[in-house]
Amino acid sequence: MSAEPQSTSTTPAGGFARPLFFGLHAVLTVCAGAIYWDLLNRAGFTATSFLLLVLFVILFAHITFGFLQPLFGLVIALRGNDPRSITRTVDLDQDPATIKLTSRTALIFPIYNEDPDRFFAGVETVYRRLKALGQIEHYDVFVLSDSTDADNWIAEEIAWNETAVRLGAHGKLFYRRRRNNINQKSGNVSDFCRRWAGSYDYMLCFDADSLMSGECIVRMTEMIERNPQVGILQTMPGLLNGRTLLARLQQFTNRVHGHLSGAGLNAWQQDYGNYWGHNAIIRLKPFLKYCTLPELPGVEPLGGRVLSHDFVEAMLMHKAGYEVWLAYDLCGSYEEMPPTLIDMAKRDRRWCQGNLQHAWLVLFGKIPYLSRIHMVNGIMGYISSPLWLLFLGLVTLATYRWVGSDLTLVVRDSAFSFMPETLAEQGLLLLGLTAFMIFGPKLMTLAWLAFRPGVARSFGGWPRAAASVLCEIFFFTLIAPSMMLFHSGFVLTILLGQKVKWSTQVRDSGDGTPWRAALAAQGGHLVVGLLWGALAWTVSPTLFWWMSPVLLGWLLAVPLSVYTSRESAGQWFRRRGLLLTPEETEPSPEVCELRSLTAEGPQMPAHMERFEDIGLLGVVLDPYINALHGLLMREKSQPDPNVRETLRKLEHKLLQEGAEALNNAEKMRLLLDYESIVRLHKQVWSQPDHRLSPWWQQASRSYTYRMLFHQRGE
Amino acid sequence: MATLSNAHPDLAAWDRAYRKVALLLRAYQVENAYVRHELAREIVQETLHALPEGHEPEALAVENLRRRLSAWLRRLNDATDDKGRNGYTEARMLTIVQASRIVQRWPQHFLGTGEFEPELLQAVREARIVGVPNLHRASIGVPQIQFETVSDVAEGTRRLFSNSILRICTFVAIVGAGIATVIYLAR
Repeated sequence: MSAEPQSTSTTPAGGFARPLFFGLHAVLTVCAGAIYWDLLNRAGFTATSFLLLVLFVILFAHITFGFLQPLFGLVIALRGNDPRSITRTVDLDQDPATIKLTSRTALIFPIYNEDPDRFFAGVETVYRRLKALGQIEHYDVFVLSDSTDADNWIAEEIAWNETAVRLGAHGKLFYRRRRNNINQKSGNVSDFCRRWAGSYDYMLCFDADSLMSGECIVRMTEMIERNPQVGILQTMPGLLNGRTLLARLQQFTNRVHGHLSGAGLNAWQQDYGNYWGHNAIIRLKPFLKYCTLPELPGVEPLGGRVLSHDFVEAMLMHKAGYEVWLAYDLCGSYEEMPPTLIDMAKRDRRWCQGNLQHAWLVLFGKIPYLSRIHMVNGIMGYISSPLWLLFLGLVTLATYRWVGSDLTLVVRDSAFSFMPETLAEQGLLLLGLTAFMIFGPKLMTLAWLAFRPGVARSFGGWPRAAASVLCEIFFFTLIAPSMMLFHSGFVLTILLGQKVKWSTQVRDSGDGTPWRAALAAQGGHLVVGLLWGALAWTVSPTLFWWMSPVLLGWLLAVPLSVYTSRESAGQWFRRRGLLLTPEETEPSPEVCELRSLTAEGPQMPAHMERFEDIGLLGVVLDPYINALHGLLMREKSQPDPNVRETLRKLEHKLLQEGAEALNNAEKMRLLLDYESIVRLHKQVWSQPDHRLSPWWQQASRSYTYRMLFHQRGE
Repeated sequence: MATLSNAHPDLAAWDRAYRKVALLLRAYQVENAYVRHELAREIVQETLHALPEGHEPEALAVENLRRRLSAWLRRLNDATDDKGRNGYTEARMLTIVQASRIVQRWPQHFLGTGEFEPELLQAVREARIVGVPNLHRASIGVPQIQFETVSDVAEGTRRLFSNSILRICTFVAIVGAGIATVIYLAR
């Protein structure tokens, strides 16, 4: 297969949807801008007015984009049979088990200190679904670990071996852990590409919390086989397994509005789609040849290595002449989401830095203009927050100036004959237009559900879906001001040079956000709300009431953060049939399988759970774990005598004082040395119990109990 | 009991040795209590006969178990003689034993010296532990986007602003300009 794109395309790109989309976007933005200019002009145009107008046009253009996508999606969905969908290139009625594939695909699952049980449940589900279809021969599965936590590492090795043995998949399901996780996730994938990509035609990237059905994987492979100029084929992952209220709100929003947004997104982007980093299949030859990430000018946070690599890789694929498509109407692609507001903010902090880095490419890179639009959209997702904040600040300031002047406002005539006479009415018109741009997509979804009762049933029926949309609007309206402050803070700190650390995305809320943590993270929002509220009331009670939705969001930031982080709140809504998603009402076989694999088994007694170093304990005490760990090491032992001496001291310290005396880096050093782990295993078992240190005596008892407990469980 | 007649005077030590060996056998997943007891008794008895003066029975019994295991694994490897196994290591063979559940399915064969059953050998032959496949290296292209001129300017600016005094001055100037703008607009 060549690494050059074919000159003739087999994909359904074309038509007038793209120029119509951008034409409408321009018309709506210009109209709204003109109405606002007229409003400002009638009250007297000043320097503040000019700033307000510039901000308004930028922000309105951003929300208009979000309005037009579902509008186009609604038209397509109601018409049915989208002529621009990539899925038209295959027969969706054909049984996926009978599809004749000719390629080899690597399914890659990167992992970085995530929960190994949930992770391997996902891997196992995907493998089983492909096997059930009889298509597993075309796929190999790679678990690519970058884990740095000793316990997670060992737990991954054990889970990998158990999964492979259970599935009979040794030789098809591989596990590799990198010693040095340079360049994080993109480096992890590059390492795979350098070592093994030569054996495969495509790779299908997963995230640690991704799930895809066998049917979806096979159809994606078929689509990319049939369309040789497609470089990346992205699916639209639906969110699932949310338990907290926030997670259930996110997954409902994603599932209920996702189809229209996806259809609209595909209408304008078509062959110039984007890549979101996972749940996508990639043609390996052009990816290897053209998608090497550039080093951005300067240093982090804005320069250096590219953090949000996916957008850049899609852009490079476009630049090389390949197409990137979104298979928005392909079912069976899922992912999970952060369970609390604070976890969501942490994730957004990483994404924010990654997206702001794209400014280099937007401003100085020779890139296709549609790729530029994707990147500008990504940047605007975060920059819009400080711009909204600035807009509100200028509105407060302008009101203060006007009220403080004690002058009577002489209103000029409007430049447009159809405009209302009073400024208040014109302001309401503009507010109504803006609100329609923001909330219009919700109405479109409800209209679509009304025409598709079958789809509405999967959300609990139309009345429940409508009530759920109202709940979603209520909560996200209150959450939005807090997110605006979070995002503004992120943009500011990034511009001031603060880097983000690579951390594991939290997917389990535990007991929810404690009040203390919420106050520490969002207490500032409360203070801003109180001060701004007092200022607005002092300046003008009218301004206060206009700003009240935003002020309320800030004042309720802390209790909202705590309440939405609770699983009990999520369950309350579920029991009343609200915020339901198709994965809850009509779960697909892969979702059921994942849930059964992650269902919790019998719990260990609380007093036996005290050992945090269970990974190290397992390697030292369990002969099979010890053997497996040794087998998976690529470099068996350290030949350097100085290093050996250090390792000896660490072994001694471990035996004398227990694992609690070692930090994670020291534990990792021991675990990386074959000789050390073999010697430690021998020493601990050969020592009479009374000569073992108290920590090891306790550890041995705990291990024995765990072993018996595990065997009883089997 | 013949064994006890010439036993070590410290019976408690022998009890500890037996418990340790039995526990280690359990760690090797010998779940059959009778087999575990027989093996532990046999190993402890062997150790007892050859116990050098001043040695711990526990340590020697565990050592004895390990020696038997090494010999048994080597014998199992030779009996299956799989060329595709990528060389013999005790760790590899032990992992294969676990993967094919030899100890659970044929407990009477574990650490034994008799002939292996054909089904057992077949199960070992079929078990494979492959961490990663053989390398099939691919070369990666050069970056398609360069920023030479901008990069030089950016790097120069960064170096300039790495001076902390200049950075503080700039920050103060920006904040001052912001405050002055707000005052001007509010007038």
